[in-house]
Amino acid sequence: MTDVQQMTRGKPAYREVEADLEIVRRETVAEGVVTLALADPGGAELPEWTAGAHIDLVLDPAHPGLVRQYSLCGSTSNRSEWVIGVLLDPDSRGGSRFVHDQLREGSTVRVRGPRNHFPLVGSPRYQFIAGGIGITPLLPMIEAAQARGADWRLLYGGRERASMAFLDELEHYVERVTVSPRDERQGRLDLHSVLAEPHEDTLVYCCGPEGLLEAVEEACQPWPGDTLHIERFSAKPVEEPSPDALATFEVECQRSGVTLTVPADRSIYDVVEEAGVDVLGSCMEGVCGTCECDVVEGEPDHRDSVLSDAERARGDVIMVCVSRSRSERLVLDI
Amino acid sequence: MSTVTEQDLSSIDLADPALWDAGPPYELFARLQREAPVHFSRQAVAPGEGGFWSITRHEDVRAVTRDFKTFSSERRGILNVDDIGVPLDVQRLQMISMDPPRHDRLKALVTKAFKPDSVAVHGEAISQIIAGVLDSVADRERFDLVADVARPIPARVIGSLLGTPPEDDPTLVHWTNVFTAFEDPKIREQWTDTQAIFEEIIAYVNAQIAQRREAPRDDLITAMMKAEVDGEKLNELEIATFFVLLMSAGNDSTRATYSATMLALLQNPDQLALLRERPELIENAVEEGLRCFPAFAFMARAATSDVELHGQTIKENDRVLLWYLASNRDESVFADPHKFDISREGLDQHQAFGGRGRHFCLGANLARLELKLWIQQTIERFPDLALDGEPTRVRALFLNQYNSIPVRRSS
Repeated sequence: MTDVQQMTRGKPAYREVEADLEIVRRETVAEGVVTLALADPGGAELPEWTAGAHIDLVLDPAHPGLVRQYSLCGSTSNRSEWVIGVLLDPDSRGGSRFVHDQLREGSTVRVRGPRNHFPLVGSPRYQFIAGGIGITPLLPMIEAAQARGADWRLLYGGRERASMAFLDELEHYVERVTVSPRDERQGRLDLHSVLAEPHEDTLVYCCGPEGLLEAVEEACQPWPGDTLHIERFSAKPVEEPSPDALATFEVECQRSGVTLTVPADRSIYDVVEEAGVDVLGSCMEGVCGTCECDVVEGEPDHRDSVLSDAERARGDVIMVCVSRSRSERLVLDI
Repeated sequence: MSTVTEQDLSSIDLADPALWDAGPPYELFARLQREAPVHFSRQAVAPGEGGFWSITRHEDVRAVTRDFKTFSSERRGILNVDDIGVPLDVQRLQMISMDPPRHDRLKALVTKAFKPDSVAVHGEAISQIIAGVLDSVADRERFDLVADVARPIPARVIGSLLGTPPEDDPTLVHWTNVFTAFEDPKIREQWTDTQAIFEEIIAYVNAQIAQRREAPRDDLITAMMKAEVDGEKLNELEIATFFVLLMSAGNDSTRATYSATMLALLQNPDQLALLRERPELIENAVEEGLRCFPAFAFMARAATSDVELHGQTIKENDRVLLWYLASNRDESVFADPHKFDISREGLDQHQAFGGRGRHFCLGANLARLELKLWIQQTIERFPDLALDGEPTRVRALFLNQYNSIPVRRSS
């Protein structure tokens, strides 16, 4: 059995996989941008995905929290490889720097996914707007829109042509694509030219830096409420590891009277459950709230999507299937 | 629905069957969400039971669910009446009608069997069960999606997990109806004495237990026999009620959402075409089915003290209904909420498995896998399925379920 098949078996069957994939190709496609093609080392087919999907790269197995999301930018019909585009961010805190420096052809990387928070909703017309590396999720969308016979346009902004990835691929669609590098225009990307007039039958998909997203959100105010679909670059805050999160820590189960060590590669849930402590759990991805435990002492590092900001700040409960600790000892009422 | 908008909300009784003649009163729920988020119904149809408060907003359902100390599952059970033919004391032997910490200890005994990786192992077997049932109707021009397809499949899936033989499935389906569709007049005709049926189940489970004493098996009945809570084994009555819970939850829920989702696909050919064109949308389609058609209209709680919510005082022991039918169509969470849209975003917010937390559905991962394989295989196997008459609904406040969906093959 290949790695991917094994991983698929151990994960929610209807969702995603976690697997070590091999980098089978690495190409520099623009200044500061590389594409990585990932494949199963045993040659197994990868799970299906849809335009707009992303995957997580677990950059350092010793720090499972150091995760970065990258949109898949290849073709959905290619089941043997996943392609991602990565921009080397000079301010990188480790993510894209790690990708650029450490991930070479032949090396392997732990991947989770695919997941799609940015799906392409059916529509007769689309206006795509990309800023810089934000082009990546839009490429498969263009492929899908083209396949469905939809009428689409792309406005693609960037610093300068040399820094803008995939211009070659986009040349096929010269009549649908407007490329607008900053050094060839005056002022900001001309959103007015594409968004000035609301159209009932057009959906707008935008991915790029925060400034562009805000400008597009504003320009779309007069449009119907469900027109605009955006994807922000930054990882979801919950998946962003806190600098204070500890890789290894101790959990004291007060009611059961046992103290256990949670290593970097295991969850609190798995460790306490294995030790025979009564603990509930269902989704194992921090969304259902079943595994909530009371915190008696210590500072949780919340990674779930259940708690509100206020509940997080209070720090008196934790979802043990995904969350971790910022203090060396976490005392739970279990 | 001008009658609804004109009617004084305080006179509305959600338990009035007439309100449900044309299906769930979604317009009314939307109005309650806007104007009366904590609303009282007298429940005139069940004299002596008292009325109930209705919670309809998504965020309130979540908040009440999480506050299990103030809103108890144990005090008055999780249905809209105390009297279902089985005394409350016996209902309280089921973890769904228990509060922490006992609820948690009991649930922990079986939680492992329902984790994502544990249910994934059953994928192949479930596919075979589905294929077998679809085979059984394949040469018929007309059949009923509920009676012929929807009932046998989850019955066999949960039966195989529990460890009961296939020939007992129809009996388990019948028992399930007794315990969850007890209000439906047509179903009620089929029996008169709930207590007698409960005794029948206890005898059945005891026989199953006896078989496993001699030869333990790898099934949930054996797991319940081995389980200990606070150092004590479960007694026979506790095992029997646990069995009833797993049997009825496994049978009722999945068939309800499957039937309604299939009906929605038949009634929205654009969505069916989209799913055929983009099969990878199946998981999202399942979630949209769960959002639009939660199997249970609500779960109830009872207040453990007087509590104020949106200006209303809910008194200690008052019953509170958490209406998933309404919260899953809360327009502040789901845009255009009555549209069945399999490519909708943000579906992880739906409350078909409850409002998150301790009582979150134990079988959620199994249900998702079952629904995915089942809908996938149905539309592959019968590309020419069409509605063949008027579907009918189960008449029970608690159940959001169809009795019959007649279909025919068009080619």
